Amino acid sequence: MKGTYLGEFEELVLLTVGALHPEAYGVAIMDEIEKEAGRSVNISAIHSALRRLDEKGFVKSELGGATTERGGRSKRIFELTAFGKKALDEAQAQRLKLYNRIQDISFGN
Amino acid sequence: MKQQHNISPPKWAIRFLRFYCRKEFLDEIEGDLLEVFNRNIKAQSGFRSKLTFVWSVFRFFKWSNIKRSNRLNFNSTTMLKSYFLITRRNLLKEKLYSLLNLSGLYIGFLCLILTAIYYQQQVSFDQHHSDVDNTYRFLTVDQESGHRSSSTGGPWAPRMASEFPEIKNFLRIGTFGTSIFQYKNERFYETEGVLADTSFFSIFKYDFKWGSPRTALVNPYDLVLSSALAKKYFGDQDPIGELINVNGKQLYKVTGVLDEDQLPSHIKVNFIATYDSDTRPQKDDWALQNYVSYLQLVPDTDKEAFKVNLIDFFAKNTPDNEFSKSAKFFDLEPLSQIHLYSSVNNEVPTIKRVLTFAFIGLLVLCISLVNYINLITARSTKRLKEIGVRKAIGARRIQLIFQFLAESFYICFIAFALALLSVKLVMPFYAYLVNEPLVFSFLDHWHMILALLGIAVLLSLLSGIYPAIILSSRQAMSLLSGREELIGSKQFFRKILIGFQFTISIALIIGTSFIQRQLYYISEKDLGFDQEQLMVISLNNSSFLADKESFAERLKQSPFIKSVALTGQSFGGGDWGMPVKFEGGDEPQNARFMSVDADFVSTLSLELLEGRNFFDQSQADQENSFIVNEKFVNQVGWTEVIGKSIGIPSWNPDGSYGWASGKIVGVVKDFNYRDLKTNLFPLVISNNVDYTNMLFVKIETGTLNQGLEFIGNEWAKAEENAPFNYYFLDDRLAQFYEPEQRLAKTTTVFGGIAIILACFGLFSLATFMAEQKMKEVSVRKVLGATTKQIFLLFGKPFILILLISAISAVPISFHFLGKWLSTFAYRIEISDNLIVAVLAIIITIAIAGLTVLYQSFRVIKANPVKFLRNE
Repeated sequence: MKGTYLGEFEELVLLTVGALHPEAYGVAIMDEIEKEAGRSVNISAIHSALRRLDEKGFVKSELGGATTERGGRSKRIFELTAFGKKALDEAQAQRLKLYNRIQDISFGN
Repeated sequence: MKQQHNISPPKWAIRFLRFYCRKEFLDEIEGDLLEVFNRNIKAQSGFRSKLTFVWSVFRFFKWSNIKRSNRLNFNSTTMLKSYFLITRRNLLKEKLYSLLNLSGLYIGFLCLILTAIYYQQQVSFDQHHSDVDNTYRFLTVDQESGHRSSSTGGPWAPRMASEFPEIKNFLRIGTFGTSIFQYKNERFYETEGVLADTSFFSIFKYDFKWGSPRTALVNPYDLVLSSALAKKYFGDQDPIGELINVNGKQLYKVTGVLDEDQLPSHIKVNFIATYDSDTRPQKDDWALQNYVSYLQLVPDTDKEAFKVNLIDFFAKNTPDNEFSKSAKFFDLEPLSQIHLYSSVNNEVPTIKRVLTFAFIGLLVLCISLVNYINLITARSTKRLKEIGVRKAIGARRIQLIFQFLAESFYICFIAFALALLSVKLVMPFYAYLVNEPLVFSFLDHWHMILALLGIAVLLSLLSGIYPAIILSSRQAMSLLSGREELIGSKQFFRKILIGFQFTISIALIIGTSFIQRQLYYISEKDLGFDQEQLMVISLNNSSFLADKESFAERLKQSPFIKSVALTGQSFGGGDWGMPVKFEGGDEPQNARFMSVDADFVSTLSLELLEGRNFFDQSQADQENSFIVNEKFVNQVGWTEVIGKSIGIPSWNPDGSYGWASGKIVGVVKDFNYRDLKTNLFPLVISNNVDYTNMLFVKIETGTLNQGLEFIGNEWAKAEENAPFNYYFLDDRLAQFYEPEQRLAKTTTVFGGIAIILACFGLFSLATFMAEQKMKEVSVRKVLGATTKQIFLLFGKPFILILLISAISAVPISFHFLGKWLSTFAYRIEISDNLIVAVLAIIITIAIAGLTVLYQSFRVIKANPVKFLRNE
């Protein structure tokens, strides 16, 4: 397990993996990110991010089924690990804490 | 595999993906790529989909996805690593050997790199000029003597250029003469200045520190300075446009400062002034040859035909008189060859010196490589077991050879890298020896470094091949059983190598001793005059040149000054000759000529053999009497000399030539006023103070400082503008042998290095032999051999090697020494100084003996029990 820092893009991919469960694989994740965040990314970027998340232990994966669309090649299905979920929770909590402080200041005026 | 659409992604891209991608990732990546492609194809054009596909394939081409090296590759890198490890262990195991080994190679490579830098600098001379292939220096060649000279008359080049369309551009360079430069309160004598045509910077390319070649040397009294000169007067300020007063007469404007170190040129100047700054009418005299001319020709000119045309041209244009009668050929010397190959004015071409240095440098490299081979073979005998084991577990011979070559390569590489890193440290010293401003930088010399690295690798392989082949040739059984203890127990090859090293070392040391001896001989040689405490003051630029006799008289009043003479001839430099007519002879003969006053003979303590000195201040004497030297008498063949009349050329006020005749009043013993490389010439001394321009002042012994102070004060009283400038004659004469002094230092340094390296080799051989002989010596000791007998047994082969080396070194060194000595007119004879050679050999053998001594003691002191108990 390498450093557990979660990059911005990594966090996005990790969220998507959790949201798409149990159908999270490369192309699906790419489509979902384009749909939800409006970001068009190359498939290779998704793969790199997934591999980094895998090395950090945030996701685990197994080979899934093949379709004719894929020329008979199998998918790698990704799944959020408990550690990955915790990382997301922490990121969310941290963000929320800061976000709440903004509200305090703006209403206090 | 079915495709829904006809269009499929580019096959080559898929093949590329499959080629580089790691097996475990291939499925998902290829699958995702295909899925995206098949979806894109419905929405976009086929071309765009394919483009996206290819783009993505390349985006996946990154380190984490790429296959790790295949098995074959993997194996051989491991082997290389293992060789490296074994090499390192071996180096660390025997630190003394490793140190000797590495430092020997290090010295060798250092010599190689320095030699290469020097050689490269030398061949780069003048190669940078814009049209170097069509630029020539104009030479005249004397038909009779073959003497080549670069001196040409001022009007020659422009007249040629207007006559011959082949000449595209020309340039004349004349000497400016020593001058006084004054800027604000700074006032110095400056030498090595030239006058040059405006075309100077269109023919020669120079980098400028300040100013530009296009605007420099355009108008009369424009001045370009060397960087050193500019620094002296202006520090680091931009001096463009500043005015310098030259000789108190004329203001010159600085129009440029050179940056000359990067682009070496055969022209060495301190300052350049525009040609037209010289307004004397003589510069247009056809016969006065004070200029060097360069011609730039139209490409593809037929030079032979051009040279023939020149003969006609000169026959037509040269004014007819007896001084220009001598027939001439003309030659064009390519600019690119001037530095290395020029033999103008009987100079020794520089290439000879370059080759001497290169030769000595490569000799040391050679010795160091031989040394390396020696040490490697010596040490490798300790590794027989290792080789045996390797063979036993199936190493093929080629693998063993490869292992030893790899080791050799590693060691050479380390030595080379060290040499490369430290080259800058040694460079100043080497630059001093070769007397060139060498520069070295990794950036500018990277191509040379690569070439040298190639050479080093090649050399490492060559020197590794012998031990590799010898060591790998043994049978595993015999190696492991210990029966075949030592390789080539006679060690014949190694003895030859060491003999070779000592031959070179002894030859260098003999050479060094003889060079030193010759230099000593020169410094001690009686020149025929007394040079002690003799000061020379040039009056050329002083305002009282017309009043020089009264200045000389004032100096004579001082108690610190013995005598003062006026002369027109400096000692140690060149001289000038003229034809002399003599009584009873038809054709004039050439003789050297000197104008002096009546005190000359006594100031220099010359010995008068016959007749008398000149009379003091006698007008009749001035016009009509001469003193000649012995050589003159011998050449003419007179028995009775005094009173004979001779004639010398004289210039009439209207510019025509005539003969001035006079009587010989005295004969002086030969004295050598030039250097000892040249033979004496017949000399005519005339008593004509008009042609003198310097003072020889003999100072009383022991009052040097008072004398100097007195003269300085007198000078300051008489002269406001010119600084007081003087030199001592013995210093000046010693300077003439500076190249020889450098050569002596070089051979001393390299001879020393050679003998140290040779001793490394000898030491290793001695150690090896000691180990080899231990058992034999032990048996002999047990049987009652004496120390003396054992010492002889052990020492005999070494004494033999050294003797054979000494005998073969003698003729080699004598051959080269004979050549070198023949450049001196006055020299020691090799046959008279054989004792020097003998001494050199004895010293070398003594050093070598000390090297072997330690191992000899080990053998003699060895305890037989220790070596015999295994049997």
